Amino acid sequence: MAIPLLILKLLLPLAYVVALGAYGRAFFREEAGGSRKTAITAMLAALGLHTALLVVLTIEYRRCPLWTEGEALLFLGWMLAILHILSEWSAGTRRLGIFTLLPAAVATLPAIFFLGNAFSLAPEYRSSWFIFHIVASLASYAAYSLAAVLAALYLLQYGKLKRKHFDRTFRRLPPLDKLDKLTAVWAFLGTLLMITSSVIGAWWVRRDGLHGMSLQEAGIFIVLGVYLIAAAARRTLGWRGRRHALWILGGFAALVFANLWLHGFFRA
Amino acid sequence: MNASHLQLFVLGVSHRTAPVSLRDRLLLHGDELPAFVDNVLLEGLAGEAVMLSTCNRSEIYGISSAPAAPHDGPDTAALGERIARAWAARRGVAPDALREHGYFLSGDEAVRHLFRVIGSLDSLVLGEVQILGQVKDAYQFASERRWTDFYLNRVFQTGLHAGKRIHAETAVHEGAVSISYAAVELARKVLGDLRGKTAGLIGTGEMGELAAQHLHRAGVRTFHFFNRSPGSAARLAEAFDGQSHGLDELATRMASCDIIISATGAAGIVVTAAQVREAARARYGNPLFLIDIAAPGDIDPAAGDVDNTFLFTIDDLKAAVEENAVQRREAARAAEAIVEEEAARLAEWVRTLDVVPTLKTMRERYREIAEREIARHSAGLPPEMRERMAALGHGLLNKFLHAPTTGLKKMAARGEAERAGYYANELFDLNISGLPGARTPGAARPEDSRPQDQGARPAHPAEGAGQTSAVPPSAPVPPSTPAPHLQRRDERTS
Repeated sequence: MAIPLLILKLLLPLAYVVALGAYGRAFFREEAGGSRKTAITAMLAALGLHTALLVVLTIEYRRCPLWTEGEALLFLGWMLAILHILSEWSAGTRRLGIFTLLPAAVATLPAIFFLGNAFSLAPEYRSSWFIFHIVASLASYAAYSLAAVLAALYLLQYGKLKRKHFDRTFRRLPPLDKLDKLTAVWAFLGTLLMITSSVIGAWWVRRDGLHGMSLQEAGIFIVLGVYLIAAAARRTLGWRGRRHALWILGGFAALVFANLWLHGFFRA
Repeated sequence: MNASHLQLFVLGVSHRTAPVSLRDRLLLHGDELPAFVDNVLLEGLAGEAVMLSTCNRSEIYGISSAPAAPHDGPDTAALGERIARAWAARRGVAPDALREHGYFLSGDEAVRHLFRVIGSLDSLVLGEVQILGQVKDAYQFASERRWTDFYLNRVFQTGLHAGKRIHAETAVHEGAVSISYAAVELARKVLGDLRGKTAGLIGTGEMGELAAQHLHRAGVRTFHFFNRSPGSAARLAEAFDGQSHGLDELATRMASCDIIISATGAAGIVVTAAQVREAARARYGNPLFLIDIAAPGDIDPAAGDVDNTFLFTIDDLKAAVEENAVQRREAARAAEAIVEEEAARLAEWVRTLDVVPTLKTMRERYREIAEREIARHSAGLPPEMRERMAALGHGLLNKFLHAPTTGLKKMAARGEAERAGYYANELFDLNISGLPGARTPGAARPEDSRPQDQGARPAHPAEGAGQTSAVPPSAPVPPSTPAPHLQRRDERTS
């Protein structure tokens, strides 16, 4: 498995770079037809390689590759690529590929270098409930990331409209209304997944007789609160547009802080 | 008609060359257009034809046979002159006017012109999207009346493909280039789809009515008209199935509007920032789009600072239009490259026409052989076996001839039709003369007279053939073949 693993580790970053380059060309250059096709082909190739790498790692490690920083980032990158495709095909945001695929590449490229050697999991982490908990949690991170990207694009387009700056970026970005709705949808989906993850995690802790709550977990509950407030205020108080976008970006900043500074990723 | 001598020509007037009065006079109305084109074809002035008639241009595209030598008949330009005279006479226009303000292009120039027209690179408004549909309609009209055949079909299909590519791959059509449409486009950039949105129009003058028309076309169906005099507002409300209000109701009703367009003749501010702030608050963060097209302005500029409120003035719209025009001009460079690419591809196909007669002869000859052998070996066999043998024979024939067919076409596309014809004649024993490259016994091979061998100037295929053929390949041809719609289709080259 060493040679296929090495080949996949070399090809995967390359495919992401090519896809991002083609998406960038399709967004920023006028003659975009060929670039869009190249981007979609490269993105599908990247997703195929990414899936293959996860499968090879699962066989190599004889467990789901979810437990180290590198593995979690790799899985997060894969989830982000999947959500990028869903967003592109369901919401018609094909022109935004450079932005929506960027988080997948940002998560995946360092993950390749952080992948460690095979090791055995501590017994308490072998529960399938814990796997579901982590998968739902990473899926919620991916949805929040996509919501944050769309919120940032909302603010960019908002600024261009306010400043009356009608450049190429302005013309290529979707209407504010669409960006606002998509941000809300992905943030809501992230919240649902986060709640699911928390419920499964709590069930696992009780079932296996484990104790307490880590600082990171406490931080995640605060993040969940931020997103729940955004969803509730949107529904009841009409928090839309700029305020909603800023709130979503704030929630994402809190999520990054909770993971990077408060605790770090799960370890065996 | 020898396909290798066919060429496209175009005769016409457009907004670039003729004043609108002359364009209007040359416009063929109703039955005049088919009658004119029928006449052109029946008189043999063109082998195939398509007439494009829009408010900005009237053009006739035709196929003529370019004579290889002066004595072969009138050249394409002379045919164009005859068509111009017929056109001018039909519309009662002096031929000199058409000569002075019209244009006549042939060959590659005509192809490029058509592709630029389809790609809206020659339009009055660069990148306008209607022309693609207009050309498609004109081509379909001609095709249904059998005014077109294999050559013009290919030219127009390639041109329409180029037009679609330009639309898909460049930004030449992006961004509004008129003030009123820029307002609608900006509204879409804020609100997305305008269907189901509510518009409020302050002032009921011509500008307000025009704005309402554009919004209605964009899908807005709920209108509120505000005016000092209720009568004018009621008239517009009736026309657009909306509601009329006095200006005093503006403050209370503004929150229900997604779009506000103000175009009154008032000297002072009509919509205050406080009113807009109040409306924005009542809209719970839903964006409010404001357009002030009055001079002096009706809406307090401070209203633009309110959160989720977007205020644009007539100057902003002008700036947007100018920016879009610049972007379109930049994108036109990429579109021109597509035109060149597709024109080159078409030219390659035109060159392959030189070997079509050779290919037809080759295929017919070998089909005869195959059928003779099938008949000989299947005599006395049951019908089912005979059918299977026939299928086998034809299948093998197609397989065997596929490689030489594509090889000969490739050679012709490279401009080596003469050599292709020579080799086909020699290798397949076609025993044909008069085809490019055909030679009489003992005549020199085409390579013997190739410029790289002799250091001579590059020879036109027709010249080389003339030296080596029993019958010159460029045998005298009529000015143009009879109109294809008067021929049987199976007689034409396909």
